[in-house]
Amino acid sequence: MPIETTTAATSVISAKAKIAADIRGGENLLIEGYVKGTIELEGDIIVATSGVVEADLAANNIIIQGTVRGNAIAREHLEILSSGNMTGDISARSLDLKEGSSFEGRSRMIKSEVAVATPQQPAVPDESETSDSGDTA
Amino acid sequence: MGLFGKKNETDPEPTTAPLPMSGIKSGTTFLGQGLNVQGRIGGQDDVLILGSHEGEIEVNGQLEIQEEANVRGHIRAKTMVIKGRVEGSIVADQKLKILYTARITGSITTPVISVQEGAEFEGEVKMHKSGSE
Repeated sequence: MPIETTTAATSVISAKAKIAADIRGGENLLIEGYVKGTIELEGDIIVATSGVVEADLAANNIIIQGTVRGNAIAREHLEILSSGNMTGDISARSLDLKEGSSFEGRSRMIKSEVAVATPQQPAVPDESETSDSGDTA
Repeated sequence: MGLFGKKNETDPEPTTAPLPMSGIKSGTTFLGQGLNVQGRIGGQDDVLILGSHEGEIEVNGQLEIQEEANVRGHIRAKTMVIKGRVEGSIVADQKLKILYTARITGSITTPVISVQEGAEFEGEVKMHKSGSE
């Protein structure tokens, strides 16, 4: 299953919006406001500096500039910028915590032997844990 | 606004554009066609829905439900424009505009209403001048 990093369409939850909901779909989502619930996207999630998210997140890429309380699964890349504040557990294939960012929780790297576009080493048996082995549901 | 009403098909987006913001008026919550939201949407800002939503929407700005959208539940806004499919109770505090692409089942409460020819509506309308309920 090819993973397209980003879909073209982007939805926005604006600064003064308050959403308590389960959000699913195949778009990117920019969160400037408040969201509580769950967000599961075949796209990217960007939490802007004004954004406050109390939700479990799953997306291809997750970029956190604001506040997130919840667990986050990034099928690709997760990044917490210096203004970002994350409390919860992270699963990601690659991780980038900028200086000044705050992260409290556990972190687990997703190792996918389903070599997507860059077949480096086909399914090297690794002694580190590969419990879920990066399922791209 | 109509920012998203017509889109040039001959306008390929650059493939990776992680940061969006193009053409979206800031202060508008925009839920695209590929999104499915279940729950409550509230707040002060305008909301534009192209996707599907089930639950409650209560906003103090303008709520616009586009042609492609599918909304079920109680929705309330200061002003409302409906072009899509809505099932439920609709309250517009100031004004409600129903365009010809709209398909509505449910109840409507608003002081001012306009319905374009071609719109489908099944249900009851309550008009009151005070604005709020």
